[in-house]
Amino acid sequence: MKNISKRAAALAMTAVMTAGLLTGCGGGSGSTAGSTGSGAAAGSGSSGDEITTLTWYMSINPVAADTDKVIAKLNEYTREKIGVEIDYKVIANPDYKEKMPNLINAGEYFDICFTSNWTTDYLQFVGKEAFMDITELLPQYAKETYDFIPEAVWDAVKVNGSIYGVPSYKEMGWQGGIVYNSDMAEAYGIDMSTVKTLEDYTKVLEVVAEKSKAEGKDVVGVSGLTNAWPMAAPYESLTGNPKLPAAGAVPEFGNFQDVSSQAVFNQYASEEYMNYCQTVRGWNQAGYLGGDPVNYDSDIANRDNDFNNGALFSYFIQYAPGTSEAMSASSGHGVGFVPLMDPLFETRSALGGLLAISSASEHPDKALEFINLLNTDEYVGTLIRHGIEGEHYTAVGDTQVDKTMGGTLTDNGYDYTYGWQFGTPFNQKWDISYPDNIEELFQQYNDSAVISPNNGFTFDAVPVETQVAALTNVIAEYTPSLETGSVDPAEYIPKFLEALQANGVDQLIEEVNTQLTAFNSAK
Amino acid sequence: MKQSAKSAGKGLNKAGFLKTFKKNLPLTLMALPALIVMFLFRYLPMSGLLLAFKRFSVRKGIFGSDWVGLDNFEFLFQTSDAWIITRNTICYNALFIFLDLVLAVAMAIGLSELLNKRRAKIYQTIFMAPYFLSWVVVSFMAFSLFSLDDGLFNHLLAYFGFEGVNWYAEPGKWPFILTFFQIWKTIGYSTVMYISSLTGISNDYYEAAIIDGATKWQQIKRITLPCLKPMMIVLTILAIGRIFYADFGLFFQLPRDSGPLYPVTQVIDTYVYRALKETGNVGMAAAASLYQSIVGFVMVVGANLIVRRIDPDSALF
Amino acid sequence: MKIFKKAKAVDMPVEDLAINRISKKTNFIMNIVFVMWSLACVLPLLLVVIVSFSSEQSIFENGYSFFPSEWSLDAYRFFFRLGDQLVRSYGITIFVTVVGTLFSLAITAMFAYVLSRSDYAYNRLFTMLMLFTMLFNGGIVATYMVNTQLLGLGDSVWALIFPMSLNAFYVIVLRTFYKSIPLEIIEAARIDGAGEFKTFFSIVLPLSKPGLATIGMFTTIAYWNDWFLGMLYIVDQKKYPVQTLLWSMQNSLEFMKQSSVNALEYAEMAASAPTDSGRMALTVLVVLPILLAYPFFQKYFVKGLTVGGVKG
Repeated sequence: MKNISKRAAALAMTAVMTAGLLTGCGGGSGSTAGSTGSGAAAGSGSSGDEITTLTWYMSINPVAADTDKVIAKLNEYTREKIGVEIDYKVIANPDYKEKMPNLINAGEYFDICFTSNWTTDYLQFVGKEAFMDITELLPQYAKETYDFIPEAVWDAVKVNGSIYGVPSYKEMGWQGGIVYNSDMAEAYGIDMSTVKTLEDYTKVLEVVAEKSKAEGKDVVGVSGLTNAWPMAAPYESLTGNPKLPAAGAVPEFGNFQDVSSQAVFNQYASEEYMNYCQTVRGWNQAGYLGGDPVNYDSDIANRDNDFNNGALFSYFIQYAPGTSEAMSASSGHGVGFVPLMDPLFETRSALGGLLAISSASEHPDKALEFINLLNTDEYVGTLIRHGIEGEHYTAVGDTQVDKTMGGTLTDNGYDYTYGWQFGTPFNQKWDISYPDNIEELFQQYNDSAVISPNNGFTFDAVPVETQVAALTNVIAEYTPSLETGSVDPAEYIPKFLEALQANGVDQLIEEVNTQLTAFNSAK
Repeated sequence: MKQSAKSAGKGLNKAGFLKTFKKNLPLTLMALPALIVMFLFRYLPMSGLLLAFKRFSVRKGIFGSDWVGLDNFEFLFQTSDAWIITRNTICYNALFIFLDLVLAVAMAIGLSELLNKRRAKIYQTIFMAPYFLSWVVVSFMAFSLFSLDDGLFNHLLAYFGFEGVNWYAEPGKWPFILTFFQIWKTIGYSTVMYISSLTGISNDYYEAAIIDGATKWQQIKRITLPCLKPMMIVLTILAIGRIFYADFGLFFQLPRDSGPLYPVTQVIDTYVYRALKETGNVGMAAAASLYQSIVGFVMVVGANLIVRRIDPDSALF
Repeated sequence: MKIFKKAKAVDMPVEDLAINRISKKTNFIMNIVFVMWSLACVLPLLLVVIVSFSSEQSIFENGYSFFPSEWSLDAYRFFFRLGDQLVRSYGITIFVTVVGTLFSLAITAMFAYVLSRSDYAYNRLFTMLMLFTMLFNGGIVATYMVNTQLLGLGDSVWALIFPMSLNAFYVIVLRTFYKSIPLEIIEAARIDGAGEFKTFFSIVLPLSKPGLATIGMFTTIAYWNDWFLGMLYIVDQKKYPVQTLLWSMQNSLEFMKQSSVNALEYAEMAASAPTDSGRMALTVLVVLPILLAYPFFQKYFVKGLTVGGVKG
């Protein structure tokens, strides 16, 4: 009942807002009205003198020294092209995480802001009505982008059937696996191609331990276990958080034996979880994980150093195309990758980065036109990511850039690593450190991705927030030691499950089930 | 105190009120800048307390958001750990308040009695040092002591032929570790408070005592401690007001968020932090903070009442 | 009140009277205790300094050590690369600390004095109002709204000064100091024809120097150490105070390392930037200047160590 009335209210709100928007356009200057009809995507140019200023809050790391120069250049172009000037508020990632939620909560004015599931949470602020519903506006003002990004990605960012942000289109989904020191594997005569599952890996670890000890070295076999469980037995996380109970099986993987494909289940109560913990427990007791795997995982710098120096053989990661090439360049030895699964695309995969428009924005049309440029105009995409040609990069061929500019990258006044935060990397030139065929690699990756059965389902946690709060604490207490084999699973998993029970895991799963049924029947 | 109450009572009629107001005007003017700051930066934001009973919407703002009754408070009580969390928060704080009081007063008096005054100054400066280190830095230091493989303590144990201890997985040891670090970090701060209070004690008292042939110990008991009493009471009452707040850094950073230690490190602030990291629910955060405030308020009023019974002059209000 | 008799009763300072000294044995034992506690306090600080000058490689190999196998300035180089920005940020922090402490001390001292006067009519009312702010707060959302929307302090240096300027805790502590000043002195001043303001500035303030120095020092430390207000209210990185700047830089670095998986060009930057020693260098850059300011305040309140100070 509560939900329905809320939805009705939201609908009414949207109607009012759209009406306001329309009158705003009509009452505004003729130029805006003119560009509305033809669709700005066609590049209508600035058909009047009116310049719209858009306030854009962006999270990118770290903030480049020459930002002002680049934005001036960008404004030159966008003024001409769509009659827009950007008031660019760029904030480093860790700062943005602290600042932006307060800014939005306080009702500060902005047109565009960066949002995701790791900073300034997209779903949370959609729930707080901070972002504008752009489902209708998208095909009108950002048609090229709308067509360019695959349907499944749009589905994933929908909340109750409406789109509230333009996602960055990059690799589709996530793929868990193990990166390893391939030089060492070769030296020890290990054939990694035989490794398909976690159990297969036990033999590898055994050999590594044996041979390295024979050489008088102390090599940690594998680390990164605190993230490994969802890779060992991948499932769709229906709450949007893989740590929370309520998983859905993915039929293509066929990995959960005793659950039917449609059911929502508690992954921690599954046979597979017990198996995983037992396997890892074996590794821990055999000494493959070092003395203190939980704390080892928390010190990334130390891990990287060990990996580079051959004191660590392998670790679990989420893989993206080009990663092992880059890692072998930085580590000074060969790096290979063993996938444990095909890429999985689920709702949360599309939430790595989005540009959303404020529900209070006065220029959603212009904001969308600008976002469209970020995603489809290669000049804009490359400019915002790599800076000004001749000053921050030199072009290499048609698709690549060299950013060293006769010095080191650290001296470059405009150098961003996470270019996809600005939009899609396919609309930006690539750094020469990527392999030539990088776009192909992405294409292969995306083609092989399995789309989860309930893609597009977003869980509204409001009715069970109390349970989620309590369960989050229980999970933080038990999983790190269980999933690194630091405690005996036969003894601790039952305790863990009991604690989950006591804090309402059943209500959570029940609620997910109800919402999922409603979602699927509405489809 | 009584006087002011009487004059306030007299102020009931309008003329009386005006007269009182006029008479107190210079002092009121003196208080005015602080009152303005207090109003703008403390009282205006108090509207945020409403959020504890609301589901916050950015578009509707604080006043327009929907009421949800006491829903936001539920998560504090429905967890199966509610008892542990409350127990830990209160017990640790009670222990800290007690130790801090006793040790800081002892230290302040001890420093003031040292024969070499220059040395006393140096000690006092050094005791402040830990106060400047953030908990993050302290936690890294502590890790270099407690780490299973490379920790100093385990090296020492191995040297004497004992087996290494997995410190971050043994809850039994942490009440002591936490208490030590808490005292280590804050004792310098409290000591400064008491040392500066000592300056207010007139020499004449001691002179008179010496003439009467009082021993050092008697002087401390009869002069120093009674003179420090108001400060001791004030600092203790204020600390009691924060008995439901735990130092997040101490309980979260120092044990490195280690799961097996939760039974002895889980306190209200860490629970709320973990609980809301996922949902970012503003209303629930407000509810937790209001809950802590109300308990603190009740405790302060209670403590003050007791103090007023025994020693009306030292009461806060 | 015989305490405030004008002349010194005995010419010799009290501490020189042999009878009033603690015994050599007690003194020795207390010194041992204090030396041991001093070591517990100062060694970690020393370790912070040493680690900040250690090479990242030697930290990986030996952990934190008083005797690193290799020294290095990398951590400082990393922060000094900020160049002008670092200087500007230190400037902002110094401005905030000085102006903030003076303003805060002024309003706190006056308010505390008024509240300490038992003959003031609204004494109880204001004490309660203030205590209430110590126990209850509106939370970050409402505070942020008021400060940015209502008061327009967003992205301004005043947002770093005003919100912290009145600390109820310090008001109450200072009030306790004032209360030890007998009302008779104030009344005597009034009979001499001094107004409230004159009494306060020429008689009460000088008498409460140790209290003011203590509170002043804590306020200075609080302003100096604060990075959170800067993080919250300052959007433009060029206007960051130094704590916020260093905090942000260190976290950017850690962020980069942690999400290294999908990053490609980051390698060079990350390799040149030290995390462990960087963290410690950050602490040194933050703590050292304020430690240098410490003796300035100490000289006022540490008189307590020599017993006696308030003379009529």
